Amino acid sequence: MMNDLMRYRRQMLLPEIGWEGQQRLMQGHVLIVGLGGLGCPVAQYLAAAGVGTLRLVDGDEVQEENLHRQILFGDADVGKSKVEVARERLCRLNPHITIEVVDAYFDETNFEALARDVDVVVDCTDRFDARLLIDHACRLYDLPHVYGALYRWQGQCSVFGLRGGARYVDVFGTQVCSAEVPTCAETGILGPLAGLVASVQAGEVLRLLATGNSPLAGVLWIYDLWRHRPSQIRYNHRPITGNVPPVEKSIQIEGKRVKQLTGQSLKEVLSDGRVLLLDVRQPDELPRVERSGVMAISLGELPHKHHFIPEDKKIVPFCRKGLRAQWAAQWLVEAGYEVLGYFALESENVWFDEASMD
Amino acid sequence: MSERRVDHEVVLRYWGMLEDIAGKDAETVTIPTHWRVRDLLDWVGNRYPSLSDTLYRVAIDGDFASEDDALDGVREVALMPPFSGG
Repeated sequence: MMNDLMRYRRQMLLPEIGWEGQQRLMQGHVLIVGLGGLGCPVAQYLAAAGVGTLRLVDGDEVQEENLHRQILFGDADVGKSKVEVARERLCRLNPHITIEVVDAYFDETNFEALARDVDVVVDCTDRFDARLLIDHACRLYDLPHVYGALYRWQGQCSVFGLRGGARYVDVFGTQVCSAEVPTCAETGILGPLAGLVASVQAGEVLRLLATGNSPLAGVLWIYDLWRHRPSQIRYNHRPITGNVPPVEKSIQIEGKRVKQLTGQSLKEVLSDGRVLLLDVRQPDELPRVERSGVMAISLGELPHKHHFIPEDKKIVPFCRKGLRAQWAAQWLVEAGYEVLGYFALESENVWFDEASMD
Repeated sequence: MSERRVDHEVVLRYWGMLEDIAGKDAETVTIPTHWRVRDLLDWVGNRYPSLSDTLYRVAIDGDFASEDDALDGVREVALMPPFSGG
């Protein structure tokens, strides 16, 4: 035991950590969602600091073009599972901690099992839909959400939801997905910026575990590494205003426009017997739509269950507001299916009018 | 008695991809003192129509703002989008 603690002595010298804080770190259980430019250094620092259990979630493989910022991985790892390589490296870095790995994306099918028994969730993903799901999970289990995000030379960090404090969607709204911005793959990203933001995230996780507090609760921290301009914005009260883009009535997938169908165009589309309406809502969402030509596979289940879709069908995914249907359309087109359009149950009352459907 | 209207300067700061749309990271604009956040948002939307297709939040002097907040005495207005990269 003493040998274990020797390695943490320099951080235990900090009066804010001390022996008791170190004990709390060693009992801590932290979920890290995403092992990219943020997740790699976060995992390294938390492992080195002796956080008792790290649960790493990422379904991707190591890619050469990400090595410049995913500094847990090297050339020989390209093509291997990120979480498996990470487990090996982190166990070598600190064999006294427990590393749990989940070789899957954080999605609607697994978020409950992954989040329910941890103390903190570290948001290191690169997708808005995953960030919304992390927000949802943290709300469900009353967990602090240590957020980090990057755009070119700029990074953001915050601790959402600490002891009932405002959460991600309270600040940015639920429509972040409709404001899809270019990804790191399209805009470029510098490794040290990811390291900087990851360091802030890891620092807040350690402080949360050791002391229960964070000065970034209620504050969005922003840094511009190009201009060396720091900024902080408080968010704890008041409704927050801004601009929300209009809900798109069509989306661009692989160079083609895929339209949101209105009641009338849906009726025309349905006259083609080869059309399959695909309900991508969760199984418990009401009202259920049970008629011929409708199949239900929730968005999160699509990658596992899409083979149930007959190959000769033209597909029209739908959900309540149309957003998940857009994502489903995107996934289906990329998987090689023919998608005629998508549909939002809420947008047209005509859906429930059987006459217009037949 | 007529209301006395005075103009004052605020620094508008465009973060993240808003900088790409506005073509600058900041600019100083002169606005009527009686303006509220919503007036400035309308002005920004007219000046850079593409910003209307972008999701962002507004902060005044370090606090996220609601649309009714007054801009009298405010020095800096930041337009802040959520980032997605990781």
